[in-house]
Amino acid sequence: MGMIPEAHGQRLTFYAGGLYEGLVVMRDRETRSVWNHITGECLKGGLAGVRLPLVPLLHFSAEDAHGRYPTAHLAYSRLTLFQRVVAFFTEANRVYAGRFFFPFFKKTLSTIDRRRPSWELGLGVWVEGADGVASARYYPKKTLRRLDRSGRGLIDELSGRKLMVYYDGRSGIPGAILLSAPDVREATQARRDDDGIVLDTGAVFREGSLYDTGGAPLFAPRPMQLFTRWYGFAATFPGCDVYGE
Amino acid sequence: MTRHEPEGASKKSRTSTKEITLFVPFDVTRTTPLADALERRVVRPGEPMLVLEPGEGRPPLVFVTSQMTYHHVAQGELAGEPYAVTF
Repeated sequence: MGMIPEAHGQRLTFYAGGLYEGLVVMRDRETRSVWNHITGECLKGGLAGVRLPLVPLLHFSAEDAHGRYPTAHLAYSRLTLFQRVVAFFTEANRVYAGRFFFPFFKKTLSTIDRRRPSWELGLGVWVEGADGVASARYYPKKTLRRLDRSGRGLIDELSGRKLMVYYDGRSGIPGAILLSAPDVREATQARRDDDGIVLDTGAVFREGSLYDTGGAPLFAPRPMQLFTRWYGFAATFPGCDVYGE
Repeated sequence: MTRHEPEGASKKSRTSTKEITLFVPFDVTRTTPLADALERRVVRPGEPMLVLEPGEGRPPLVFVTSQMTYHHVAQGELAGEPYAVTF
């Protein structure tokens, strides 16, 4: 996630500071408080209870990111050879193999939500309602991929907000946008064609952006979302919905 | 992996508060246009990326997903405003 690293007027500097429910948590060097890296909430320490403002962090392929954000800048890290090796195996475990749970990770899990396989990949989406309580739903990647291959788009509603959840077959990356613009608020169905995902209002979603029937870009904000393993999302949002169940 | 036990750690907690020094945070001090990076093949077109969408007229910032899998945390400033990215 993206966050504004300031609390009570103090700028915070984070590092990977331990494990919580099988996930790496952050600590800040200034107060040594422990933070949830997904929700931005301080779990323990002097800043317990503080929640950092979140900024959406979105998944794209490099070319799609460039298509949607032509002025974007890249923060590229010059990793050492050792760091590249660690990054390679960590990423491979995350994306491909991913069945091995280090014992020191597993012992931090309090419960395991067995509605889905622990290592399954999916898109977790959450939005805050008017009462400030977050509603969260998990969309299994294989469900989104199946819908996409059958030519169907997915329009859903979460906490009173209409959203479209999609799967990019080229990059294998799912994502979600909020259908809040007047042109798309009444959309109920979507289908995939050669141009992109076409809503029944006539709007088209392609290369990460939404366009009206005349080809003009539409405002399509992103809800908070995370392309992640089921166990991590379920542990962060206990009792979350699972799409299709 | 080097670890040390900080103050306040509790064995009863589900939280393991041992610093994971294997993962060094990414201190972002300079960036380059994504268009240039694609042209110079610093990154592949299909390479998975993470995009920070800060809004309010500030330019989006892109990170290589596999690098963030290593770092877990990146921090810097965008137009004078601090940000942190966690993954």
